[in-house]
Amino acid sequence: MMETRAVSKHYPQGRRLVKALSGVSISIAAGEFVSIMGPSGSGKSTLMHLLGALDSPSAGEVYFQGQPLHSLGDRELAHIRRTRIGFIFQFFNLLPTLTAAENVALPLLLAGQSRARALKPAHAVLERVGLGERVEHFPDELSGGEMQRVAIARALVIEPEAVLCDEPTGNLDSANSQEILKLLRSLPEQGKRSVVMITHDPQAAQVGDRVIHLRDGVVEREELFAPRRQHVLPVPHA
Amino acid sequence: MFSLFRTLSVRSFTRHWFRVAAIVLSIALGVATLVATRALNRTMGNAAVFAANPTTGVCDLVVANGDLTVPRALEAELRAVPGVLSAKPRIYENAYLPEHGDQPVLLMFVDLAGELKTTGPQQDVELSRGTELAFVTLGLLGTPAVVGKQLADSLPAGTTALGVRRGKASPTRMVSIAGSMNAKGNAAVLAGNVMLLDLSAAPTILGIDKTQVRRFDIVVVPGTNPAQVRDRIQGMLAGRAEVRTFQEQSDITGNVLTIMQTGFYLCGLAALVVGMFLVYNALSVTVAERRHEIGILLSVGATRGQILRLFAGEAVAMGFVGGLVGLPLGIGLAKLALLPVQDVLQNLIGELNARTVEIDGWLLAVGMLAGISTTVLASLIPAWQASRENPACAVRRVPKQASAANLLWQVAVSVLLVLVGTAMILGRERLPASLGSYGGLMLVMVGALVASPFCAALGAKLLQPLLRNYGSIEWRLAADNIVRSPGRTGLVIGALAAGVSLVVQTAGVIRSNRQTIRDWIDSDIGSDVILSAGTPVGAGGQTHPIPPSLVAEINRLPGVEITLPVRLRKVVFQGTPIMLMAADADLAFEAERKRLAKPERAELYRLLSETENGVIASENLAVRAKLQVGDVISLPGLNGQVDLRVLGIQADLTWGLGTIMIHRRDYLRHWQDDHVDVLDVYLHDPQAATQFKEVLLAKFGATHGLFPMTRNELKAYTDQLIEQVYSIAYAQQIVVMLVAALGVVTALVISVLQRRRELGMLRAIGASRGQVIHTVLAEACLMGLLGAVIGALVGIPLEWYVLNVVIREETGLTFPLILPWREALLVIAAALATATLAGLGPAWIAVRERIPEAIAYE
Repeated sequence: MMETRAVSKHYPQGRRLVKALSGVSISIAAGEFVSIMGPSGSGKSTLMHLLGALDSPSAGEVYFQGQPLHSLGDRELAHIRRTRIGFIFQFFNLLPTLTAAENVALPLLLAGQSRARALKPAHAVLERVGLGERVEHFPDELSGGEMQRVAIARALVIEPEAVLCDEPTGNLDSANSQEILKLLRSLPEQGKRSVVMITHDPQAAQVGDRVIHLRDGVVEREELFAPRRQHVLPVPHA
Repeated sequence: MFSLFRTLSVRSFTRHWFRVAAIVLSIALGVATLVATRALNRTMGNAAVFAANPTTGVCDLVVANGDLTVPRALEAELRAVPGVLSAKPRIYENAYLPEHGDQPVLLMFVDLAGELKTTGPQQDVELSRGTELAFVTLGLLGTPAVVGKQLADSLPAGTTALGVRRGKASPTRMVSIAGSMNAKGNAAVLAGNVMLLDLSAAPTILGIDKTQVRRFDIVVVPGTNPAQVRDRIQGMLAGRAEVRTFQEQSDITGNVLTIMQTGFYLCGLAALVVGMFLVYNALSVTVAERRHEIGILLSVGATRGQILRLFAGEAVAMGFVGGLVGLPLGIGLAKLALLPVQDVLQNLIGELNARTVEIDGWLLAVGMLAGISTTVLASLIPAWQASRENPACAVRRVPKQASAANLLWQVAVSVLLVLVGTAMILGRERLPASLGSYGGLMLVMVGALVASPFCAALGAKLLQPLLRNYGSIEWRLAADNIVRSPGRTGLVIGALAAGVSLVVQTAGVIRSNRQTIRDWIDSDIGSDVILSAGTPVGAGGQTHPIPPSLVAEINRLPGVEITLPVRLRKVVFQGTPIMLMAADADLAFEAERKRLAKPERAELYRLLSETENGVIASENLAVRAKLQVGDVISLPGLNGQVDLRVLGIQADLTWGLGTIMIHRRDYLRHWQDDHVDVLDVYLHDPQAATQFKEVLLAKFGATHGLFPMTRNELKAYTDQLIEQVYSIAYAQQIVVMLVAALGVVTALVISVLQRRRELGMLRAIGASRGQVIHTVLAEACLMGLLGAVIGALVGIPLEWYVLNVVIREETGLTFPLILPWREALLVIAAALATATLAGLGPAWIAVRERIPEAIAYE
């Protein structure tokens, strides 16, 4: 479903050239939950950005559902992000002036849907992530865990084929982290979609089916876990 | 401190070069407008004073009678007054040299034979060799002249043609150049573009009676108080002429320019004030952005004083560079505007001859000081806020809570400024001239500018529901962004509003002036063709006299019912030059009674013809001088003070400072002046005016340099004059708009930088570059819309104020409030376009960054 072939990413930082990734080849199957781990500067965020069509490689090839992302233009990449990939960030990245429902509806509004039409699925997804009562609340009226649920709902509202998470629990306490991980773990089952999660936390990484360890821009090793469908907890109110 | 400045500030300047450039340019434009305005005001003021008093500094007192003449016989009486050293008869006149590209030249008719050898100011004058002999020799053959060295350098020896603005029928005369003169000190003017002629040539060249001169220049005995001598002369003259000190004489001329100069000056000041608020805005955001840096500095031991000085120092540096850029820009602007401004003023007040912009060290110092002090003033609050930071919170990036105290302060300052300004306006009669009406207005405007963040936030909040329900997400986000950061966008919107309100106000004043003058021409001028010579009829007094014999010739033309000769002369009344309009009241009654829509006006003419020494005062003079029917006004006549009774008051827009209409019979008796400046021609068939004008031009146009105008043409001509006058104000307002546009750029760049992660996130979840550009441009457009709408709304009361307070008090003229809808819509569109275009750069900045960098945390 998602694949990189000998992908490298170099970018200038001040006067030096940072080699973030060097010849990385990985493949992620449909419905798979993959965790990416590694120390700071290992290239895991860069890899996720390439998989998520946020950035283009310096060398190598990136495929999403067989489409060569490395050769697509900005407009096509934006379309893929808007319709097929959901993003979840460590710091939630919610717009403070929009309500929870409006934040969730944002990708649909960007796709040109009317406000009324976009808000319907937004309300439904918020209901699914347990925030049915908080749809009209603004981000500053929500807790950290609730904000991250809103961010997850925003990623899900487009019914994406892949969800990419960048340290989704990095800014949460342990109780909220557990809740969010359970929610994320439930995603691949619900639509055969893939989930890629970057994390520093080895325990969190084990929620995935597979863990890719990166170091100094190359894949150091991979860990494969047994399928754990039985561990999946139901999403609250789902 | 300098090392700290060099290490931190210079680095910060380099990193934020674009913002620094915008601040510097804002200040530069403000300084440039101020310098250009002051330089032009001074140049035009001096040119006007010079036109009236070419020998500034040479004499102590001037005896004159406005535009009229004084008897030369007064010379002996003046010399006999104790304290008078010399009393020299003078006639000054502007002329031009047709063979040398119409180069302007000042004619000075003096008693050459006597004066060149006497002591006094001429000690500073040096004649070229052989001049005296040549003068005598050439005098036998024609009209000899001595020219200033500057003029001599550009003229070949021999004879030259001379065109005289107020000459007799023949437009040019030949003069023979006898030599040149160099001069220094107070007499330096004689070395310029000056032609010295003997008084005996004046009757031939100017048509002035040989027993008359224009003025006497008086030099008092050294050590004598000129004011005391003035009082003695005044007593001796007994109303036959006016005596004034040089300063008083200059003030009279200056009065005419005051309103225009004040208007220009205020526009220049407005550009600087708008610039100041935008600099404050940019500096405030800079402080907010560098909060972390400030926290680090404080935590490593920097004192609050050092932080304060650091930010104030940065402001001084930017103000200094802004001043350095603004000074040459201002000089360039002044040079560019010199000729157009001079053309406009000439149409209003008469011949001016300013060839270069007058700029001195003092003006440059004022410009530089204004630039630096404005920036420092703008930096005070941000610098103080920076120094008050809590280091722990700043280092930990704890979000700063909006302080209610700050909000209260802003509201309090705004309300206070508006209240003080209003009090100054209401109590303006007790304050020094112009301080109440202009100073008060400035304070109210600044108060409104301080309040603009609230108004902007309120406006955006009002738009939010509309955009939420009907607008696209890009517009919704743009409106949200304005609401959540009124501090950043509010002042910019206020600045835009200031520019728009000034333009709307000016457009309204133009419309009102134009409409009023058109109505006046329709209802109060009955003649079908208005005839002048030399130049089109205007209030500048530049027309050539028309030979009285022409009246009879025109009367003989087929289709003519009545030809009414009119003499227009300026006389000084209560220290201000007003227009004395002499016309035959019998003829005026006869001609106008069948034509005028207002029969009472024709009745006034009848009354004027029946009453000896009666006058009709214009409404604006009555307002200014608080005149009523039955009052007696006193004017200096040839044989003493002339008392004239006000018989009536009528609408008359001939001259901005007031007009008195007198029966020609009385005018001739008191002033013995039979010149004619304008002919009002009444036709049997008004529809034949255009055809008759062609006949006039064919028959007399070439020989008399006639400028006939039909009523419609007169209306079109006055429209054009009004447009010209206000075009200068428009030019300055465009600068204000430019400064505001720079503010939009700065505010949006700041917005884009502050929303870097947010815009990155939008792109990450699928927004295209086009959509991000759309939202940035939407924010710019909304800022433009709010600024334009607020500005248009403020512009209307501002127009009312200018019409009913400023213009009415300065001129006494009453103009109705006319809403300039078309212009308001145009300026709103222009403001929208300007603001949106200003958003292009920031929008490009917003999309050029890579998404991963935009959404990354340190």
